[in-house]
Amino acid sequence: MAQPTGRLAVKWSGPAFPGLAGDRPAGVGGLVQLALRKLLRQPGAWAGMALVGIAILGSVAAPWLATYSPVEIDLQAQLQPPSPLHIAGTDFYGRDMASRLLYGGRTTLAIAAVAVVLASVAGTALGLVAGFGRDWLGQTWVSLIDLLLAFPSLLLALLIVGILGPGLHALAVAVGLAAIPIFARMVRGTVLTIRSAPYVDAAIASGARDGYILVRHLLPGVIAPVLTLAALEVGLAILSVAALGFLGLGAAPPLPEWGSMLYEGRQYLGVAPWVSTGPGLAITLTVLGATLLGDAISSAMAPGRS
Amino acid sequence: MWSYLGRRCLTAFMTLLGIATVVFAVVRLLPGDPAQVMLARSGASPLAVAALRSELGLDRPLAVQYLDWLTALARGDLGRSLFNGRAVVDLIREQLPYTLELALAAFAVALPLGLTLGAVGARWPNSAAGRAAMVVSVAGVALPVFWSGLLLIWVFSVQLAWLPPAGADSWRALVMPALALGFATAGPIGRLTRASLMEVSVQPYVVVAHAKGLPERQVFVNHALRNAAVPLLTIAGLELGFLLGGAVVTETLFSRPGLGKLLVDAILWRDLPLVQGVVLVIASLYVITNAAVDVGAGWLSPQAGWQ
Repeated sequence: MAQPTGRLAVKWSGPAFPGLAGDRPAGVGGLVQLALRKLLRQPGAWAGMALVGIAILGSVAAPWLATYSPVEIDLQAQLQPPSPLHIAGTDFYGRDMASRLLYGGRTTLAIAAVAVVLASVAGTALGLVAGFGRDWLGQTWVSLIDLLLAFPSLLLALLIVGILGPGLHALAVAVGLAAIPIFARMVRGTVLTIRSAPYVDAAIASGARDGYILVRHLLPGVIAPVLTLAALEVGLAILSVAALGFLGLGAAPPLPEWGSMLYEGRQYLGVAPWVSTGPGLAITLTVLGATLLGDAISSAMAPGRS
Repeated sequence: MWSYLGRRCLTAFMTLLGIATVVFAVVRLLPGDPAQVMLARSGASPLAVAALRSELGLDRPLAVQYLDWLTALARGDLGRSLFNGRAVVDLIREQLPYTLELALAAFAVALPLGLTLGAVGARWPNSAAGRAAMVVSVAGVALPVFWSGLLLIWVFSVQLAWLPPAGADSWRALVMPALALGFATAGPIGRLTRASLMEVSVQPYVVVAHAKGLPERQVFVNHALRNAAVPLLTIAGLELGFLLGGAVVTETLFSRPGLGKLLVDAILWRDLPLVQGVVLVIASLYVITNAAVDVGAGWLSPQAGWQ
């Protein structure tokens, strides 16, 4: 940024107005506690946490919970209905559906999580620059974000998978990249609001460098909204991953993944509906949980209304 | 008014140009060699890869490739499919009507359903009806199209044998795809409708209308609903993007012809010219519809800049 002129043009590389602008706003811990209390008062939050918790727990503990191998073929046990031996039935290759569901959750949820992390980190960086840069750089980013938002996000993901070729890594990258513009736009909007705050003016006036202002003053302000948006985007990411898996663009068989398992079950709908019911329910309930939790978090973070 | 229309058309044109640029950039700038990816499955020799590179023009400078891409687009030329050698434009023209049919039918389900769910949810937020409306909306969000569609097939094709599970020969084949895709789109529309109605309901003019003793119903219809109409129209336009993305999945599930099926096949065949052509056409449809929606919203609301 340009050096301020006049009496304020003091060379000062440390925090601007130590103790005032450089410090975190007072009572951050209190705010978190308040938001947490508001969150836990909502029944939707509890339901969401339960559903998401079960999905995560099942995926993480899959090696201990699964009673069969998720990929081992047993032609003696083809398309068996749910029974005490196979509580969710077996698929066309005689593989235990319950074990495949547990391991499938690992694939689906891990890809969705990587995608959301990628989108929120890259989107935050992009949004910070777009919101803070007053020069051509910021303007370029803004137009780029607007352009990417002109694509339906699943379409953008499909294009990227089309270029990279199907596969798990491509899937995570595609779903993540496709969600970047949503984060970038939100962060940019938040930055534009924070930028006019007195403590930012004070930092600028005292000659703090751009990078310092970005990291110390603007970044802390966007973390809460980014986390809130990330919570809302998790459900959408799971849906996108499962959709791409359903289209045959994700996990290569026999690796279990909820979307591709559902597609495999489609052929046996008449004789063995449980093969697609399992993954269908798993996706629906997990996305439902993520949506309820995301809703509860964003309403707990919203100022004012309780 | 004409200047507003002109400005909006110019923005739409610039966005279309930008979309063409993004598609070009994604194809050329992502790591990995498209020619290599396309031939990966057949395990082609380096010589074949080099030949394909020069056939696609990938060996020329980026600026030249970009100019060629734009001039070809201006002539309405999207290249040839690598899979069957036919012009990409022709392939798209054959499939487009099926996708438009599905999109329109699904939108005809989604819009009234979503608006009703949102309006009921906002009008009686604490009643059983309002809560039920929001539960249905969330279900619409959480139920993936490929799962709700499968449930429909199970009930209406497998069990009752009323409707064909696949194809696009008659209106009967359109019923289930339109319902599945429409319901999935109604979910987000319902949630956003409720949110924007709730936002309007705390505005000063609504509070004043309440304060001067107008009946609840009249305030809702005349003050809240009317003022929310413009954002609602915009929301509906934006959800069209979701619908176009969902059409890809819906067409695969119901084995329906259409742009989505074409795109998925193109990706599986590694047919790069076809992939970029279909993506460009779907994205352009989305941009043009949203521009039309914006003009419509401007017509409804004098503040939006018709003057």
